[in-house]
Amino acid sequence: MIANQFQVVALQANQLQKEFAEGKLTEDEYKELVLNIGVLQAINDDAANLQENLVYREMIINAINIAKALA
Amino acid sequence: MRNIIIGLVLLAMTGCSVVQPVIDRFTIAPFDNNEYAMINKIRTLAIQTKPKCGIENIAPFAILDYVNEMHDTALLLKNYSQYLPKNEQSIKPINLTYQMVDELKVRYEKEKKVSKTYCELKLQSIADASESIQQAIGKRPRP
Repeated sequence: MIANQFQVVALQANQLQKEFAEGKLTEDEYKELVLNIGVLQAINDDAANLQENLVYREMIINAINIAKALA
Repeated sequence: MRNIIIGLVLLAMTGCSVVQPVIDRFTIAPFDNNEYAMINKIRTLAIQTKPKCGIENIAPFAILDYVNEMHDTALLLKNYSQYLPKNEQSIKPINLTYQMVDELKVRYEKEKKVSKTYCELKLQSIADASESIQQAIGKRPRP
């Protein structure tokens, strides 16, 4: 799902350019939304890192459980 | 088992650059019902508000009411998460989400006319950001 979010960001960038070219956004709105894409990307990166860390945490717990079983 | 723990503690105490990231990854704040409920509310409000873009002057669909409620929830979440222990990884994306909601509110308060496209794209960004965060914090270990 997180990978899909990156596609959403790319789609939004394309849509934004198209909408601005068609005059549906003011310049000020366009600038804010362009910056927004970077913000959204940063949020997706952070969320992906957190999910990755949860996977690592699970791996560590499993390793400890195996070590405990072998001891 | 005790030896493994003692070994990890000793390595962590020496500031070993290899072990520290492992420790950081292990110490994650547990799942928090309030945090999850608030991010879900922001996402849901963004989804509910999007179809009302462009018709903000038609009562009772006053879009600013929805935006204000979203802003209140985002601020509440930002403040709530700020001092939860081991929660650093959530604080940044939550703050960035608040920033987006705040920009939307400021624009609606400042401008007499906000374009439908701006409203839709901004709310879509807020909904997407909230969904990413929701997915991540929803997978946290239960206490």
